[in-house]
Amino acid sequence: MTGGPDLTSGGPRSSVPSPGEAGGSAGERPPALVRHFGLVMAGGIAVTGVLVMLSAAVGTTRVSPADVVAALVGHPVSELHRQVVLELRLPRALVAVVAGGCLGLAGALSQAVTRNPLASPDLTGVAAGVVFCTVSWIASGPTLGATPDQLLLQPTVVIVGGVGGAGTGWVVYALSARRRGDPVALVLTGVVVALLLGTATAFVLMLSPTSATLSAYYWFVGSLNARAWAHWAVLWPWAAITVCAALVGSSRANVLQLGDDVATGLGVDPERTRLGLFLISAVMTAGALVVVGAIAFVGLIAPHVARGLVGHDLRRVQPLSFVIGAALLCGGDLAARSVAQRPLPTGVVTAVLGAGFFMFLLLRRPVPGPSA
Amino acid sequence: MTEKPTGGPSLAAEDVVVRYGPRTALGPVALEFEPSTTTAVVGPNGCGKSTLLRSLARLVTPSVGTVYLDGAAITNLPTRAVARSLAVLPQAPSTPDGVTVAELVEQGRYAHVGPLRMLRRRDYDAVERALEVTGVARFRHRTMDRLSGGERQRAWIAVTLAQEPQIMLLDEPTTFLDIRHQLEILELIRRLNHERGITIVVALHDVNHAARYADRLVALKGGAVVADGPPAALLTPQLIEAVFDVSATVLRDPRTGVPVCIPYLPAGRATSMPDDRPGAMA
Amino acid sequence: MIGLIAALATVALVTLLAGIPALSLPELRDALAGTGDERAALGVRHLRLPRLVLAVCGGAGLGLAGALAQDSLRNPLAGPELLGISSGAATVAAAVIVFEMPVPFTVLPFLTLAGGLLSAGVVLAVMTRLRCPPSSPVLVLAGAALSAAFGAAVTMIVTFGERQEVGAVLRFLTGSLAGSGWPSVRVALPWLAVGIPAALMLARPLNLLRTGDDLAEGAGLAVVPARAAALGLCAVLTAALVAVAGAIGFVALSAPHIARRLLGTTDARRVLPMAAVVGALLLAGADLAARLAFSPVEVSVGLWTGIVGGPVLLAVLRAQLRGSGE
Repeated sequence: MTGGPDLTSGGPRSSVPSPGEAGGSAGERPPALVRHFGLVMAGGIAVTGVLVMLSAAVGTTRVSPADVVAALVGHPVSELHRQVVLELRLPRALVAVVAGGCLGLAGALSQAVTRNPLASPDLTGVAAGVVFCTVSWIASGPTLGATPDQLLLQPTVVIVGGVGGAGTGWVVYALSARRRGDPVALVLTGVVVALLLGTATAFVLMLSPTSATLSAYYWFVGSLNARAWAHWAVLWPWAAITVCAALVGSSRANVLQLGDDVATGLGVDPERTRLGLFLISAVMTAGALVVVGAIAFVGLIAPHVARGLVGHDLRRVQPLSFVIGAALLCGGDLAARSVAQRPLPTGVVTAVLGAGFFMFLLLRRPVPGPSA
Repeated sequence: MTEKPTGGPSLAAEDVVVRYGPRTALGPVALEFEPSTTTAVVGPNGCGKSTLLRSLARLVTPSVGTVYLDGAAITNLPTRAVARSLAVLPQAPSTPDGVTVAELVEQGRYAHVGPLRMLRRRDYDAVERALEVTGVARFRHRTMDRLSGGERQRAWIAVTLAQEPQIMLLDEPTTFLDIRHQLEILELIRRLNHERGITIVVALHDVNHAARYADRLVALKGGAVVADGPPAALLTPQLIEAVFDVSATVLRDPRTGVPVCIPYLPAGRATSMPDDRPGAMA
Repeated sequence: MIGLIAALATVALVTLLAGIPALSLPELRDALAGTGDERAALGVRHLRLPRLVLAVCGGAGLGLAGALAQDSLRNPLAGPELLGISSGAATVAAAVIVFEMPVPFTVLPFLTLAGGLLSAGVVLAVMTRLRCPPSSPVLVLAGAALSAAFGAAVTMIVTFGERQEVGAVLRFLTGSLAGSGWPSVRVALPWLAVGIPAALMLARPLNLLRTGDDLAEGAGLAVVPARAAALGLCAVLTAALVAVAGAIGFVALSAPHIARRLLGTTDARRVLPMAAVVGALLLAGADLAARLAFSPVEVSVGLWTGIVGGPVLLAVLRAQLRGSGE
């Protein structure tokens, strides 16, 4: 169902499938996963729910699943367990779910805007912009009279990061403006700009006052450590607004996939739609990254898996990308916490998985070029 | 034979000039397209056929002059409103991997759906009709890359049909197709014009197809209109030579009565290249 | 070319003279000869001179590495940075530092080379597997993925290491020539001494590769081995410098472009030597700035190469986007 083009495509097809074939991929019916999209979504949400439960149960203080449920529901449970579940692990898991979902959805948007399945906020320079501005902001904490961690909790940091991400996104978009119809140009520009900003970020880290460097570096690396209700408060408004906007624009995004000329012919202004979707994805990414640090590749993997499961219609791919992204980040955090003696920063897990997945993608089939 | 339905918006280009940088690709051109007519635009490579169609379809804004849809300047109209009356099939459209025929044709309803963008009964009906007329209904759940060239092109026509347009602009819809598929597409286009009264403007590279399937020929060369009229009157050896730089014998098709031209390289000029195209390829 | 060499000589001279303590010409002569102030002599002969030698040779190596990558892949954005070669080499070096592996200094370039070759190999594999043209931006994307993966690896390494290492690793990742003495030169120089002439000898094959794979094959060049050799050599030249000074970016990318612009030609036989000189000048100049600009605090050389190379990179990108290519 997923896969690349048939080897025999382009030639005249030989007739109707023989009676022996049961629907399958010769398909005169839509594939099962598409027909039962509701079930797929429910399944994804269930998996995420289980991961959240596990996250609440696992850790230095073992809490049994029964106690987790009890604490959530409000039944009496030991004070330690209640604290651990409700104040420590639940917010962390929820932040992971929403941030991961946003990153996944932002990835679906990036891929739709650039018509390139390799795109993601990391590759369009948006993530680099968010990271650079945020690092600069929090690393200058001591001069502003606060520690980096304190700055991360104030709403101002989201604005800073958002401006950075949207600004960089806009710059990348403008730089590749001459090749507007060419999705690869955008990604290439994004990669180059990301390289420049990455170097700049490293320098900011090096030049920052030593008291701030370590915390700034650990934020930069990407982690869900100590994400509490305060972080949730910073995250969810942005997430809500941008996710709604994205879902509303999904049918327009569908038309955009067909090419600028066809889109215009069908009544969609490709320029404006692309810009709008790009901005939504930039702000969505900023909201998520500011809270969890520079976590990469979720936006690449989630939409890919979603598309593999339910096809190309963005009205299905977008919500599913959100769910898969949520599961990825929550699961990744769980893995990072449990896998080694010393808890790894979650960013490491996603980066390793992500780079591997990316390579797998590159090697598996040809990248559709601008004239696919 | 039943009467062809008439009525519908008119399309006109008034003093249109299109420039790409220093190069004038088209113009000045003044053309009017009556409702329910079929016009074929012909000419050598680089003559501006594509540019003309693209400006008529508001895919490109003319540097000078205006295109009018039913009396209103097309670039001033909201693009969705235009899409409800006018559909365009660009040259060699590309499809993302894995899109099925049905999913693609549904996109054609974008201009008609309400703010919630849900497809209603009448939208599904329009899609169904489009699939039937173009004969791709039985492929509806097949992905586009698994269709033959002719089937794919018919699917794209179904997309434009789903828009329920009154005007259809097609840019070289028969290029890259084999003979049988070319004729299928042209027959389909003729039926759409005769049975539904859709105004057709189609750019074709084959002059004989143009003569057989269109009521009116517009011949372009170097970005300018050099001839405009019914095929029977227009297709003379002199015109063919002037436009295409080949000498021709014009015969009458025994089956259809339509003029058919047989081209030859002019004697002694076998190695010279036409040199009055307006610069690079359009 | 003469102008550039003169500029290089000037920079070299200034490098030796300037700093703390600043020297005058006669004092420099004495220091080099071994007479005169003992401290000055030490400073010049054991700190500034080796550092200068490293900057010049390493810079030349980087300039050539960039030219090799760009010509063999017909991709103006190619270079050790964007193909993941620098990151690969740097990650290996970071691992050695942080885990305090008992690796003799002279062996380090072998290890960093392994890291660099890994990246080069992956990029070539992607190209062959996809059967895409070498100039395709997909390779840059693959390089970006590699860099990301290596970045994660470095972070993992840092996490498992001691806390104080963060600063050191960052310095390493952005490149620094600080504290490079004769030991560093002794480690890197043999590689550069072999690599630089080898690169210059590849000029003719590179010219052929520039015209296109089919044309080159038709003219009798074994395209695949030639390209592999070019990229391998690129890795060698990069890894040698990375082993002693970290991943200094932007020199390899910009030097060849500056060279081509100055010469007005893309002929590799002329561009390669020019790229080497430009690279040497860039790195020596950047190192000088690093040492002096915020004196006495030393700011990584990578910042300065970035200041020059960044705009060049952007200009190249814009030119590529404007062109009719991808």
